[in-house]
Amino acid sequence: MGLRRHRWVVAVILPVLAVVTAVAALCLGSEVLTPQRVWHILQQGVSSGDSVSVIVWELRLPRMTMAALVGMLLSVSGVILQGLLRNDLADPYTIGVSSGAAMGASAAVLAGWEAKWHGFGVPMAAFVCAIAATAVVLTVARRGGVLQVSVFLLAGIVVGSFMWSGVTLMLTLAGADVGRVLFWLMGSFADAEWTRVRLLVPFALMGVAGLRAMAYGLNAFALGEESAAHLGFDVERLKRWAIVLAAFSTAAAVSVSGIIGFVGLVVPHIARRLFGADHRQLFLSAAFLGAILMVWADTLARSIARPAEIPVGVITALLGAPFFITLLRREKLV
Amino acid sequence: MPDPGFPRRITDFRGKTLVLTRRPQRIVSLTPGSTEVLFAIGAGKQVVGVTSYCDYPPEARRLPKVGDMRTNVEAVVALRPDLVMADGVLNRRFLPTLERLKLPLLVVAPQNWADVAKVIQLLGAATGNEKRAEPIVKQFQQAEREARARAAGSARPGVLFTLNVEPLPMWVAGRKLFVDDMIRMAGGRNVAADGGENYYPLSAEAVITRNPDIVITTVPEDRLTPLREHPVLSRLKAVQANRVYSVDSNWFVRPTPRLLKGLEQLVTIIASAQRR
Repeated sequence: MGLRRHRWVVAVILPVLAVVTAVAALCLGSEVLTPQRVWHILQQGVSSGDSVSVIVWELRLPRMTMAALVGMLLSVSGVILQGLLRNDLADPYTIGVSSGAAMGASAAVLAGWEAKWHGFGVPMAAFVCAIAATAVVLTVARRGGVLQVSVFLLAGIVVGSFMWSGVTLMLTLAGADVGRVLFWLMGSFADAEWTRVRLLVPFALMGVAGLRAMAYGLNAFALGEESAAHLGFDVERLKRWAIVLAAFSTAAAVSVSGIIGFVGLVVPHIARRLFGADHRQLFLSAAFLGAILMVWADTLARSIARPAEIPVGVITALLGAPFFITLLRREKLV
Repeated sequence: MPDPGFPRRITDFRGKTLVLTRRPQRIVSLTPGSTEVLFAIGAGKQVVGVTSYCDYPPEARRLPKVGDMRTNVEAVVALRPDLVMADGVLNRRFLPTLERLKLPLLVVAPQNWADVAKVIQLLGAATGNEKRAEPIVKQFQQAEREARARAAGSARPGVLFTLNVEPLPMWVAGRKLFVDDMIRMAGGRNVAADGGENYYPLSAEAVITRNPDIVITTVPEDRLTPLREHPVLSRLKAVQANRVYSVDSNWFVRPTPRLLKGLEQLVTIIASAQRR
C-alpha cells in the first residue's frame, strides 16, 4: 500500500488509466473497432454518412462522457456522506435521493411524460422529487437548528423505504409499462446525448470543486463532530452545505441515468485505501476512479451481450465487489 | 341431456389429456388471448371468468375478473369452472396450484404462427364450436401458403419492430414471437432476429448498424417525436424515408385471429417499401 506516499504515482497512474479506459470505451460495443480506426474517425470529424462514424461520435463519445460524469458525481457524493456521517455504509442513496428520484421517474413514465419538455419530462420529475425527498429527510433530522447526524441517517433510510414502497405500488398497479420503468430503475446510459451531457457538466464541476472546498472541514470531521467544532469549524454550516452538495450531485446523476448502485459506496473506500484518506487528495482520486469504473461498467454493459444491452448497475456491482473484497483482504494481512 | 360429441378427450400443449364429459358451460380464461379466441369461435356465452386485461371483444369486459396476469386462484375456484384455459408461459407461476386443486385445466403455449392455429382448433374442439373454429384455422393456413409464394420474390426490406422509442434502449422483437414470423411471412426481414429471443433491449449502436428500411412500433403516432428528432436515430433509413408506422399492438402480440389483420397490415407496409 505504498501508493499513498508517492503522490506523483497517483498523478501518473490515474490519467494513464483514464486514457486506456477511454480508448476501450470507444473501441468496444456492438461493433468492435480497432484503436487505429477510432483514431482515424476522430481525426476526420463527424461524417453523418458513415454509420461507424455516427456510432463513435454521437453514441459512444456522449455516452462515455456521461458515464464518466455520473461516476464522478456519485463518488464525490459518496465521499461527502461517508465523511460527514462517519459511516462506512453511507452512500449517495442513504439520504433518500435515489428513492425520491425513482418515485418521480416512475410516476412520470407511467403518466406518459417521456416526450414532455423535449424529452426531459422524466429527468425533471426525477430531479425535483429527489431534492424534495432530501428536503424531507433534512427537515425530520433538524431540531432547533441542529442537525443530528444519527437521526439524519435513520430518517434517510425510513423515507427511502417509504418511497420505494410507493414505487413498488405504482409498478404493481401499472401493468404494461413495467419493463420500461424497471430499465430506468436499474440505470442505463443508453439515452446519452450531448444535450444531457451539457446539463451534467456544471453539476460535476460544482461537486468536485465543492468537495475540494470542504476538504479541510471533512478532514476535521473525521475526528468527530465535537473536535471539529473545537477546531473552529462551523459544523452546522458544514453539515448543511455538505448534504446539499451531495443531494444535488446525486440527483443530477440519477435523473439522467437512473439508479446505478455500488459506485458511490465502494469508490470512496477504494480511493481512500489506494491513495489516502486526506480529503484534499481524495476529492480528485475518487472522482477519477468513479469515472473510470463507471465507463468500464458501461462499456461492458453494451459489449457482453451484444447486440442487446445489460443494465449498467449489474456490471458496477459485478466489477466493484470482487475488487473491493480483495482490497479488504489485503488490508487485513498487512 | 347428452351432448352430441361429448365426452371428449382433449390433449393440450403439455401433452396432458383432459376428459370433458359434457360441453363446458363455465369456462374461466386466464389470458386475454384465450378470451379473444373463445369469443371469436362463438364460445363467448360459455365463458364465466376472465382477467382484467381481457378487453376484447367489449362483451368480455363485463365478465367477472379472476385477477390480472397474477391469477387469483380463490376467485377461479369460486366460479366452479368446468374448464380453465391457461397459458404455459404467462400463467406458469400458478399452474402448480391450479393442478394441485384438480381443476379441469388445458394449457396452451403458442410460440409461432402455426401454434396459433392449433390453439384455435383446440379451443374449438374443447368447447364444441369446431364448426366456427375451422374457417379461421383455414385462414391461418392460407396465409402461410401465400407467405411461401411471397418468399420466392426478391428483395426483403429490413424491418425493426419496437415497443418504445424512448427511453432508449429500444425493446425490440427478436426470435420466437408471432411478430418475427409475421415479418418474414409478409416478405420482410426482422433485423433484430439475431440478437435474442422475445422482446429484448437492443443497443442504439446496433440499431444504427442494422439500419432498418421500416420501423414498426406500438407507440402511438403522436408520441413518435423523440424518434423523429433524435440526433442519431433520426438518420435511420426508415425515418428519413418516412417509413415509421404506428400499429395496434393487439394485432401483433396476442395469439388471436386479429393476427390476420396484423399480417395484412404488414404485407401492405412491406409491399409499399418494395415498390420504390
